[in-house]
Amino acid sequence: MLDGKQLLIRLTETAGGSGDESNVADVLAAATKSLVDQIEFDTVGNLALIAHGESGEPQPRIMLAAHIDEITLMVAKIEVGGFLRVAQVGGFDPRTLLGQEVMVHAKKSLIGIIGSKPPHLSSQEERKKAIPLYDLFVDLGMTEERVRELVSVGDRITIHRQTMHLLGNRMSGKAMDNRASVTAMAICLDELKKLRHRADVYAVGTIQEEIGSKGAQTAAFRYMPDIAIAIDVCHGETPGVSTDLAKKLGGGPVLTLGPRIHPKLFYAIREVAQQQNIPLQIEVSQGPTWTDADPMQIVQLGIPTALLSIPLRYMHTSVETLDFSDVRLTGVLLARFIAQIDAAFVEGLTCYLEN
Amino acid sequence: MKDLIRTLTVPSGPSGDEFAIKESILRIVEPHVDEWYEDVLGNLYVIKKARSEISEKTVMIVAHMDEPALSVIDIDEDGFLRIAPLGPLHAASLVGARVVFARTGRRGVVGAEHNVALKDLEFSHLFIDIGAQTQSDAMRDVQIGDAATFAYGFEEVGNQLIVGHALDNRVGCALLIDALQHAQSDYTIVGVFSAQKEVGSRGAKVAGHRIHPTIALVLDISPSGDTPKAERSSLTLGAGVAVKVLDATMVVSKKWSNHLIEAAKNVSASYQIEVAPRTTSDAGAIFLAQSGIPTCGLAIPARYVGTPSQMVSLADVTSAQQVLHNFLSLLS
Repeated sequence: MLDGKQLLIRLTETAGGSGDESNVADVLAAATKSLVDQIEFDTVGNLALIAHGESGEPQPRIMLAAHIDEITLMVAKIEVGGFLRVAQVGGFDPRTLLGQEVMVHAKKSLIGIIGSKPPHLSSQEERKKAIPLYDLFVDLGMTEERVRELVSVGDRITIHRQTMHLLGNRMSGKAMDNRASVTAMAICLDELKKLRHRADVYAVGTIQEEIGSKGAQTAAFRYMPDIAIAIDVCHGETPGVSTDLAKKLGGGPVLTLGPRIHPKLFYAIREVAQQQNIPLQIEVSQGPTWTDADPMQIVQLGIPTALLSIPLRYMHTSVETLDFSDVRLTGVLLARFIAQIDAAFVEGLTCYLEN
Repeated sequence: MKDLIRTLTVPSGPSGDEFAIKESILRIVEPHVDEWYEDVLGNLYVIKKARSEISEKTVMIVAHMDEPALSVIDIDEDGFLRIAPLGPLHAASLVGARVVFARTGRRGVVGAEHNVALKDLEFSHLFIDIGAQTQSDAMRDVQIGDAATFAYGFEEVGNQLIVGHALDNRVGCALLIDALQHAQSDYTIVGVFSAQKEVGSRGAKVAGHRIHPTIALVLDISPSGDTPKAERSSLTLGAGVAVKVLDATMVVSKKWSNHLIEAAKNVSASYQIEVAPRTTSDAGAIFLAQSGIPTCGLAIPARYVGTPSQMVSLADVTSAQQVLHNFLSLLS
């Protein structure tokens, strides 16, 4: 049986920024190769784990999309003194970057820290404000000459952070967004081994979600599924955030309803959760979900799309925190839903008028 | 290359009305290619078949031929033309600029209302004076919707530096023409002189869908950071062609940026890395076409982009030429 927590730790501690996901894809492929019939990398780097359904009838095709990239920084300029100026690849909250340990993926892997001007030397005005990314820099503790030898503009910088267990099922680390969902997708494939399913499953680790959901769009075009489900993280409840914007850690998977979501898919997944006694939280979106669901819905002739999310606190920081039970239940719910899909259900997704 | 670039900066090419520049490009490339055609967006496609018949692989090289322009939105009673920008232009950099209308060749200058500080200047304060006395006088030469582009010469400054009004992206077009004339590849080369880059890479998007090549390469300009208090960028004029790693539209996969870096090393050409989070290119639109297209890019660093006097180093152009030829010859 798949050890989900171990896989999550391995995935979160692997570096894989948008456009540079191959290490994460390799970890995922190794962990799931015994669970699927076929593994496929496409030309732009998406990883598809393909599990065929029972042969016979024409098979419904279902695509799962969990993005494998994480937000990173990139070396934009090497300053006098060997300090590195950085650009964003995906959206870190710059307020949380000061004082972080980072890994610069140069000719060698180099540990650095993120610094800025000390408070003692800042004006009263400057001290009131958070330090913008523009004024931050990475200090590698080396001479400028040595930095220029080893580091090049364009090198990646990731947060250097070990994933840790908190009490109970809680875990904290970097890149839980979205390796939590990648883990849930692997758990789904593991569950599917124990179930009978007619649908062909394309579980895709998608690239470049953090810079505009790019891999999901091209993968959906390639596989043109009958159903696509994005798996991502949503905000976990914290003080100061209203309950409609944040969900309970340990309260179960979160299912989204809104214009980017096919209503019949929403109701079908909710019904499976009820049947199987899987706790489910509901999120309502009025427009973009800012996940892989958005572009997949309008690929080619259109694809019925759903979104399952895992509640996560402190999103886009180095201490993203979640409850592993939500990860596990997301995988289980996906598998149970997939096991119920048949051709008649898929056919019904294009009928809004005749119910 | 210098003469080719000079020739290409003469014709006008406002986004959406690229006729004049496209005609000039076609006249130059037609003898060197196997086939050419246009599409509904106005893209010009030119095909150069692979060295051998065996390979069905294609490389699509894209250089946008359009340039930002000024669009006439009103003609007042005294014959002054009110304007809006077509593509990324800053009002403050236009005062006193000489312009030419793409449709008629009529010339004019940009004036600004008095009493507006330069930093507060918006397009609503600007107008074009074509020397007309009255509204009806002006309307004989210009109609609402006509587009004007910069009308300046081509200069050489200092050592190896050139200045012109449309080096963005006629330098890219020149590099593409040069590759079609001289480069050899086992891939079929589809050159695309793309339309409407400055208004959102609309030509490149459909070109990517139509050709769906094995690999795409974009040739464009990228602003340098080597002038006093410039926006932060490590790009420097004269330090070689820039291999695209990141711009506002995409991140290039290491596999393909490394191919270009290898090519630079093979021919001992100097090169630098482009990390330009605020610079746009056709790359992002192409990458997303169909099931995704591996896309990379070469950029020529330039000073004063968006003004009538853009500056580029010929040394960087030469380096780009060598890298591109080597990259194409090694595709297999």
